[in-house]
Amino acid sequence: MNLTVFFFFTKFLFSRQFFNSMGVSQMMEADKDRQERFVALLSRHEPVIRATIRAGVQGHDHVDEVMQRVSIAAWRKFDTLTSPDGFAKWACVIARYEILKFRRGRVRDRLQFDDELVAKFTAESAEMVSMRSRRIAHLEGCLEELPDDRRELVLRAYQRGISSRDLAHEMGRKPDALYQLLRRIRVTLMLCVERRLKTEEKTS
Amino acid sequence: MNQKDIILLDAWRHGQMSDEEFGELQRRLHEDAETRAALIALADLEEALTGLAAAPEAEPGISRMRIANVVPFGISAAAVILAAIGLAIWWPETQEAPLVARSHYDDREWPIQTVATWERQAIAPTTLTLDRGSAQLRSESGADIVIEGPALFGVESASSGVLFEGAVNARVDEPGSSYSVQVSDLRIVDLGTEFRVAVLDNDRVAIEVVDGTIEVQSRNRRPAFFWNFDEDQQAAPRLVLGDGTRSVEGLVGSGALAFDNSSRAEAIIAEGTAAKVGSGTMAFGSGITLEALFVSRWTGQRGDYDEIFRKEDGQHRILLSFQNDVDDRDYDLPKVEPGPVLSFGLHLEGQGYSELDMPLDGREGRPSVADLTDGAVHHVVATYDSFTGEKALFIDGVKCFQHRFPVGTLILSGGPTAAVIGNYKRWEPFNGVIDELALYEFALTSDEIATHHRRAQKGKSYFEFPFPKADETNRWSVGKRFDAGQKFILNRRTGKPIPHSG
Repeated sequence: MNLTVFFFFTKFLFSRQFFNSMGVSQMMEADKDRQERFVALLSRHEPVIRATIRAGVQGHDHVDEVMQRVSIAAWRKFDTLTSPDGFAKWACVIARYEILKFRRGRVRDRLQFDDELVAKFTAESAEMVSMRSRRIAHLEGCLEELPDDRRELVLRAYQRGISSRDLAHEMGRKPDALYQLLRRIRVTLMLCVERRLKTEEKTS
Repeated sequence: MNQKDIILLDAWRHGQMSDEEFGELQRRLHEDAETRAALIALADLEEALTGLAAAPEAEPGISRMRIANVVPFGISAAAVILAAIGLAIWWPETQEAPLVARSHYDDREWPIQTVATWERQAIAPTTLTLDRGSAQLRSESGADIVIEGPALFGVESASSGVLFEGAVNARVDEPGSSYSVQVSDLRIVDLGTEFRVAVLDNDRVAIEVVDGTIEVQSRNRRPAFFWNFDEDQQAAPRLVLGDGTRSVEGLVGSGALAFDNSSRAEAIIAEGTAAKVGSGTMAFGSGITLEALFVSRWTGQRGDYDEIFRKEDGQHRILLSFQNDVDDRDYDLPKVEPGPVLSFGLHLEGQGYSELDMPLDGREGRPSVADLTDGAVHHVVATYDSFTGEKALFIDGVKCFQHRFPVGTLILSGGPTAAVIGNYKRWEPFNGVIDELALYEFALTSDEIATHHRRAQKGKSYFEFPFPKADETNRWSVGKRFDAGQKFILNRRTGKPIPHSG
């Protein structure tokens, strides 16, 4: 247990007066700063970290769960981060281990990539966090290129809590037909994002 | 990027492939770095889509794309992150994380603080009903508590209890341990002693100092937490503002927070968390009040939620928000028709989590959605008082909706998740301005609420006194001390002595 954790625990066990008399209120203040720095960094880089998890774990709920484990582990190890600029890459490395740990408890799941492959692509994903952030930002422009009804559909499909079955029912389509349509939209968007990235690279 | 690869990867992401196809995909991924890059690209795309889909329409004339300009991609709530911080503090390495529910509610069951031992069994915060005889507890703080029936006694925390009916005797022998008994607006605090407290009726409480010294403290009817968002505010818990939140001119005073309805419209409260439910400075037990001023641009449409305040400690959440859903979780108590509501959610011990969902239908004195989104400043107050069992919602100084629970029912709240003003994760951003947000660990009275509303209408703070410190120590005033052998009767609300009537 490190000092910070120790003081978190004792914060709830002893009075503020006790702490003040011991001269540790400054340390608690420093700990708040540490919390804020951590929250700001994790908040800024969370999309890239979550996407890394998404690449190795299927299902929103499972992604949420692994993300939470990554957050916990990152907080525990925050003192080992040498520079805030390297946070995203560092957290993606943590994500790699958390994905592997999570999958060990779900060995019966079908369509699970083997550990070697997960280690390979998560390591690669950590090396390209900067480009990935730019890619995510380009999506907005690509969405604008879509016809209105397709744009509305894809955003509706990704709203939290809406199952594809419910959405298909709502639209009067068969689930498989809806999946095919959404897949076409995703392919269009991916190709569009790649095109924009290449244009950006050429012009820069 | 190979289109065939993308289609295969997409099929994997959505579980739409056979074992054979999966084998082929895995082989390609092992061999080809471009296919692996495509997998990451697809994951990036889906994460970005999830973020954009979470940002609802802002206001007429501003498209979803405009919101996306403000929020280039979705970032989930740092509340979860702070929850993680809380978890990291205590969660054993080997313990499995609890299951995550599939909805806008995080229904995990967090561990609950042990507050006492009763018949060798550890108990969490609860209210004990004793018809006759006596029962003995040992508080986690080391006090021996004897409840004398008939009695109703809330074992609220490791070092405090709430006496609703009957009598209780507390003895503290161990150096460094402590215990206090709350009766309405009074609190009897041991200073190394033995004392007995008995509720005589609605107004009177009898106190006897058996040994040592006690202090009788009066409740400071001030907020436990208060944000006026003014530039000169001091001592309020720090807020981490999302990109969709900015400081604007105050509805009262110099500052307020404007929330742009994007996923990053949030103000995360960077304090108040603790390892377990029932602990931490944001664990409310015998009562609570949530109070705020707002200007709302909520749509009122099905599926649109605007949070004013939310602390999501699994089933032990505290919530005040505008909602419109199909009531699939059946949380409303009393039952109301699906539609736009102002929702006040609490977990009450023995009752579970429920929401006081006030229909915004303009009937029976209740406001309509149009009333609350008319561009004017409105005052909202949500209260729960375990001494009466009443849970109530007030709008603009007037009680509009309420429900009664059994007297003595404690709130179970607090825990590892950071509270958030103006959002819940990335899904439920507030659209408008929030100001003068206050949390109290007791229920304000109707008169106090009406006074606060009148003052706010005049552009004044709720309070005549200077801004309170966000510090536990000011929740109760330093009181008068009494020594062994003294017996007396006090008014349980005012603390004034009442002569013995024989």
